[in-house]
Amino acid sequence: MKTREWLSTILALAAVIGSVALPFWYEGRRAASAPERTITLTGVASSGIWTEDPVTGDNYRKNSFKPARIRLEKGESVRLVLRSADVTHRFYMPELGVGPVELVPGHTEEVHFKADREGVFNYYCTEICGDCHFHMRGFLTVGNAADPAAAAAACDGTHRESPPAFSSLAEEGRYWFESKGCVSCHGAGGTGGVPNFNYARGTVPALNTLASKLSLESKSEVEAFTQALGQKEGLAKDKPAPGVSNWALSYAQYQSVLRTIQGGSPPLKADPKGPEPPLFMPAWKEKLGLDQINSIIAYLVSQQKFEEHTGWGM
Amino acid sequence: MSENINPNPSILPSPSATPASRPLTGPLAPPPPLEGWRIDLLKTFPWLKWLVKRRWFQFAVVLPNLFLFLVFLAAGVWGTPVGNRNILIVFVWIFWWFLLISAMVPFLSRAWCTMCPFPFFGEWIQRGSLTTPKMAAPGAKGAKVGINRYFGWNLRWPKALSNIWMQNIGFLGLCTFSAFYLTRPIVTVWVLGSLIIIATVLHVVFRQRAFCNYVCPVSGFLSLYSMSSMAEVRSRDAEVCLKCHDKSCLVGSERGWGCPWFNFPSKMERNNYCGMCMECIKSCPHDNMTVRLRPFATDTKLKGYDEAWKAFIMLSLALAYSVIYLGPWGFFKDLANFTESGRGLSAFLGYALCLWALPMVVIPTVFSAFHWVARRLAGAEPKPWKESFLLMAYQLVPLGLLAWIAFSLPLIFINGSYILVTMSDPFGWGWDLFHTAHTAWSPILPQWMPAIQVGILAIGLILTLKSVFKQAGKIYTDNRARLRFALPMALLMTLIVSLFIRLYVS
Amino acid sequence: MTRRIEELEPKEILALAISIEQANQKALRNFSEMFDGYNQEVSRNFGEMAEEEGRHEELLQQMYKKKYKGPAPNIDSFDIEGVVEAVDLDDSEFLIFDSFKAQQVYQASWEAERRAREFYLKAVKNVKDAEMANLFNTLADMEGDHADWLEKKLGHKGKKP
Ligand code: SF4
Ligand code: SF4
Ligand code: SF4
Ligand SMILES: [Cu+2]
Repeated sequence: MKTREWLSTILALAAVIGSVALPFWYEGRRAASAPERTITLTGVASSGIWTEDPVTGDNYRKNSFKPARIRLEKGESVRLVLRSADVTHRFYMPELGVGPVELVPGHTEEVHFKADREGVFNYYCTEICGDCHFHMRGFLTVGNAADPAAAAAACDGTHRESPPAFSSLAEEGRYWFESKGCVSCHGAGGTGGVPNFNYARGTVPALNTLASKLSLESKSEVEAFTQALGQKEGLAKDKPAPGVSNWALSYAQYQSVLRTIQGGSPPLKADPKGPEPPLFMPAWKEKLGLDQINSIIAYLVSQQKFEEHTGWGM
Repeated sequence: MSENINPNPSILPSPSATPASRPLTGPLAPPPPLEGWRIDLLKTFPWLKWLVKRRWFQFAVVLPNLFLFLVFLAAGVWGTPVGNRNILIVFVWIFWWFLLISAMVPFLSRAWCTMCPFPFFGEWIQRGSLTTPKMAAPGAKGAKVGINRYFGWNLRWPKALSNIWMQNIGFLGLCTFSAFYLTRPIVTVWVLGSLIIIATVLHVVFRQRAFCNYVCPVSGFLSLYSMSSMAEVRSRDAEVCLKCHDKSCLVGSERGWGCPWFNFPSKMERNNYCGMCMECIKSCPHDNMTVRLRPFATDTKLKGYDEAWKAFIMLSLALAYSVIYLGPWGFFKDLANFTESGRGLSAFLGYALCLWALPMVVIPTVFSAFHWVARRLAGAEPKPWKESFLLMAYQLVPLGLLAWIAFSLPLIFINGSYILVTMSDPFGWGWDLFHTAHTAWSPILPQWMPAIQVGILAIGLILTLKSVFKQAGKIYTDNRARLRFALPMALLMTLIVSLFIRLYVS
Repeated sequence: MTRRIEELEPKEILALAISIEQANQKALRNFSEMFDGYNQEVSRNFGEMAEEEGRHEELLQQMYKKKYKGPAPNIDSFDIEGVVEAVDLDDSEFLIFDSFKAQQVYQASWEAERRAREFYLKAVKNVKDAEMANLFNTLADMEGDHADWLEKKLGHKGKKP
């Protein structure tokens, strides 16, 4: 009965090895049999990322994956496999005509496209999928186009913990601006410039000139305004902040900015018959308190560069 | 098939004619007559006999299971973290559980243990062989147990732990954290992986299936509910066993290992600790062991408080899970899964406390109270407390099993489509092996579910009530006392079932 | 092809008794090993019983040699109708719950001896041949002696079954 014992041993070992090897072999064969290059992107809500790394139970828990960096040859055909690791996302890459594709967790979607133009193409999640949703933006580069200077910072999850103590209102504002994801569309320091497909102005507006918009014309006026913002009772129309030259105008503008932040605003389409631009200003009133919004305004007005500080006249 | 009915063979030609100075006890006494019908499956189906007598039989049923189980674990590690799209979660916690409780246990006893992959590696090491029994030749390496030879330490299991309390506690522990691994494949991998590791280590250190008999958390409810099962491994003819000098079913032979579950199969009278490994069928030199079919709920004897508490635990958990997962109160579900619902640790601890207090304290107290009243009402010359307590606690066994079936049915009917989806796409990688990967979620017969559940529970109640009145006769011979004893217990059973019905119908 | 004991030759009956003692020794040794490392006292008692059966066999062997010369052939008790001596245990779960007592070893053996005695006594009634009846009576007596010996053992432990 030696034969039977040998045979069983071999079968047992084959079962152990095969159980892991077989699935990977099958997956590899599937990818290899596709005529095009396969790129797999998984959306992860908890870190606000599109990643090429395989997301598994283990690294999902540790939140350890890198944002995707994809570079294609011009004219390359791509089979794009899209997944969600947790909640429903919606993948949208308007400039290359992909999507929006709804990604139900656990389901896999496949789309095909051809990278027929050179350039940098943005893709987005257009389903509000959690606190890190506004970070869920990535890009792919075709041909020799240069990578954009900085990709949006990954959502680091700091907003989940209680915020640290702040030494100034502007510093607190910066914290919220970055952790709530404003930064991912409006750019570091509110410098703007993130492309928004079929948006009348082309890119998401910069916010680092907010001080001028609020009719604050100098560093000292900004400081006075910030001072008033930081008071417990906030701003009031009939209580002009000392040191702000045109209080009525500043106050009215502040009110309109506040309305936009709290209520959101739909983006104006460039081509009225074209698709909805993927990025839009959402309503924040459920997610940010007045204090937090005020701090963000304080941060943004502090970002303006005034001429007197450059030291060079016009 | 009627010729298969066991004729209750007499052992001695005429024991009364002997000059016995003492009454016959022990093996000399004829076994109590069997209740109900029996069908000897190995006689009825010769191919089945051929199959289970093959040395490779158990290996052949474990192997595919082992393979699938490891694939599922791989899916847990590398597949999608989305619970109901990962085959590990769907097959282990939904499909397997359902099959176990509603098909395997009621009809096939512990047939799961025949094919279970958990002890595979441990047993392999322990036996040093997959299919061939090793004989203890003089001077051979390894430890001699009976007449077989084993590797590893082969230590005796400590006497203090020779009961199922460890299983009781382990099972409650697993259930306390169910919400964590039910939704997270990786946690399920840890749980199942550590079970395999523990099983392997214990097999190396202790004798034979110590892990299965005393530690495996699944074993507890398998042993309890297999009492109700319609299948049994038993010896055919008590006289043949009496005459048998080999006792190979216990000590092993070159045809088969001695019972790995520490049973003396020849004298087995209940299913609890028989893992249906079929070794005794192979090892018996007189072809005297067989597999039989029998009526539902035939074994009726609980042997200790550990087993009675297992019955309490199972019943309480059926109740608790019905509230948590099927009831209209999402609140409880949140408590169970505090890391996701953000309800904080203290809420979870409160939930855990309830979950443990219910089976360990509350239900036993209520049960004891009813039992105390019943004994007081009946009055006259009662048997010891423990005897009537265990007999009545047994009544919760078939009842609990049917309650679990009623609970598990919607699980499968509602989530059935996930089984089809994950079957085709086990890792959530976009496969479509059987073209069922895109099955839409659709519950089966949702409108009929409460009616089916109530039907199952009603059957359970009727069976239990009948049994309560009948078994009360084992404690009180007097008819009036018997009735007065049975009434409060019957009331308790009715209350329990109506509680379940309320949960399922609301 | 089972035979009734009355159909056997006296020579065969003696040989059968010897085979049974041998088989019992083997069984008791196996039990002893089963309990080795489990319950030492039980294991020891089984070993002791095996030795006792050895002495029993010795006596029968001598008897056989004296009467018939040469070694006794092996006769399987399964070929004989009815039950003769074989040690049995009365509970299937004693190993699981570690509930087997040293006393029960003697009890089980005692029952086996009793059974054997009953068997021979019953056989006596059905034989005409005087030599045969004599042999059965001798065997019954031996089993009876053994049963008494065991009864004393049981008594020594202060527990009458
Ligand atoms: S007792 Fe547990 S580990 Fe052992 S065979 Fe049964 S299910 Fe598997
Ligand atoms: S080996 Fe067979 S005949 Fe002997 S005791 Fe066991 S089941 Fe009975
Ligand atoms: S050897 Fe027989 S009695 Fe023991 S577990 Fe296996 S099937 Fe059951
Ligand atoms: Cu998203």
